[in-house]
Amino acid sequence: MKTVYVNNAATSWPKAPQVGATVASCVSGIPYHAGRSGFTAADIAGECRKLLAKLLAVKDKGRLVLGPNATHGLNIALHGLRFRPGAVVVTTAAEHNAVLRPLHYLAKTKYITVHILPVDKQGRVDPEEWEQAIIQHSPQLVVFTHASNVTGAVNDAVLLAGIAKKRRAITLLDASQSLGIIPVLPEVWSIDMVAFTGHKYLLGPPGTGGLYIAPQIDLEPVWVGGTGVQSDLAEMPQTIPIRFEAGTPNDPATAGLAAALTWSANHLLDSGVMADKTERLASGLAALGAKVIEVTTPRTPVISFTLPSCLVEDAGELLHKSFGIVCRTGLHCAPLIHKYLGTAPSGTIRFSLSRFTTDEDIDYCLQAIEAIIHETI
Amino acid sequence: MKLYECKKIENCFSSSHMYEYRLPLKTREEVIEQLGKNGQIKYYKNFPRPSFQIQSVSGISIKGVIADGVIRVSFPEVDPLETQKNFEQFLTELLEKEIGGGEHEHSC
Repeated sequence: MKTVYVNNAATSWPKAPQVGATVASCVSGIPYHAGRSGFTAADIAGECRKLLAKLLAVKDKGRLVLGPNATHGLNIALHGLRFRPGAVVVTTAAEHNAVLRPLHYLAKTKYITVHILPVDKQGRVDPEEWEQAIIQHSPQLVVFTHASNVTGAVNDAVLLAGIAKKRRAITLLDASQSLGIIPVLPEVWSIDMVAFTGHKYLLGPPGTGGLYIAPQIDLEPVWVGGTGVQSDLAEMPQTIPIRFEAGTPNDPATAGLAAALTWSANHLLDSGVMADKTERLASGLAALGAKVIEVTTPRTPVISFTLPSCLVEDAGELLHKSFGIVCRTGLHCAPLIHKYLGTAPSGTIRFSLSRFTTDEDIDYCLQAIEAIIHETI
Repeated sequence: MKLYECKKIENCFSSSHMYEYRLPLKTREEVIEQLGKNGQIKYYKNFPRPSFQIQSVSGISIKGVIADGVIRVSFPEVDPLETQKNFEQFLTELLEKEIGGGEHEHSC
């Protein structure tokens, strides 16, 4: 039985060519500390930062803090901010638990107030409601996802961030689902912080991600410890990025991400082809009788749907075990959005494509859904 | 000797009580009929890997691929531990009958 992987919004597969070999080579090679070894050692993190800075159009690559994932980056941002007494944070119901849980924790422990705005039936926040909430609550911070990991709907990050900046709110963008698929340009868009992951649409290995921090943003380090340099200081160095990179870095994974970024820079994504494939799968599913969350452009290659005759979890089980289709079912770690999509409490079946998803893969997914509907109705 | 292996399966819901059981035999139809004798069995024989689903009157759901050695069992939210205990007793008896008697342990 063939295997079709349509769970790229969770983690991409396959990875970019050379990622595996680069990781293996780095693990096998003698490890050097880039900061101490001069020209003896390859500056793995520096090279990766340089490639990320180019992709994000960030002038100073040192503003890019590397870490194991977007959740780590979001926590550096959310726990590192010095919240004023009675501070308010505005966010959206489309957020992943990587945002919602830290905010919930901060509301409990730091007594901040979190306002969660509703989203529309596609998963987008309405700019007018956003503006009203920001005027009403004068938040110290706004956090929002660039693209919903459930529906693929892309928010207008420039507009939402601009509204927030007008009211002097600090802006934090979760680009976990967008970087690698659509442009993410924090300095062009005047966004203060952007959390990103390396293992989704950047096609890098798991264990990679980070946070862009604009020069005007002052964060306290959340994790403190060894940095391999400036060890005579009792406190974390003031220099960014090491101020936020305590502990031994994951050089093999970082090297793998650099390999992925290099490959992607030389093999640009054809967004038209990606959009066509997404549309073909979405419309094909709807034609078969699946209840597809309809999403207008701009969108990422993520499709959420339910079936009239089969529970979400049962469908996922049949797709995996009987058809070899790897997808994701349930809440997708974004528990609040489903109220607005009409998919609470069970969630959705989610197919998420990548640039490596073939037309044959899409046909097979459609055949599988057709067979499941036929057999379960 | 362990009669079956058992592994907790997680999903999005904290109230979920789902386990996989690796059996010492293949789930051919006679075994499936025994597993589903107190419930409704659905077969999906036209799929690339034919599978089955059982919904028992006690609220247990059993899913698996026909002629595979693994079943996935969901227990109801109400009194899941007692229901699981009863199911495992039932499963042990069924397996003993299928593969022969003797003293067996199981692990879960």
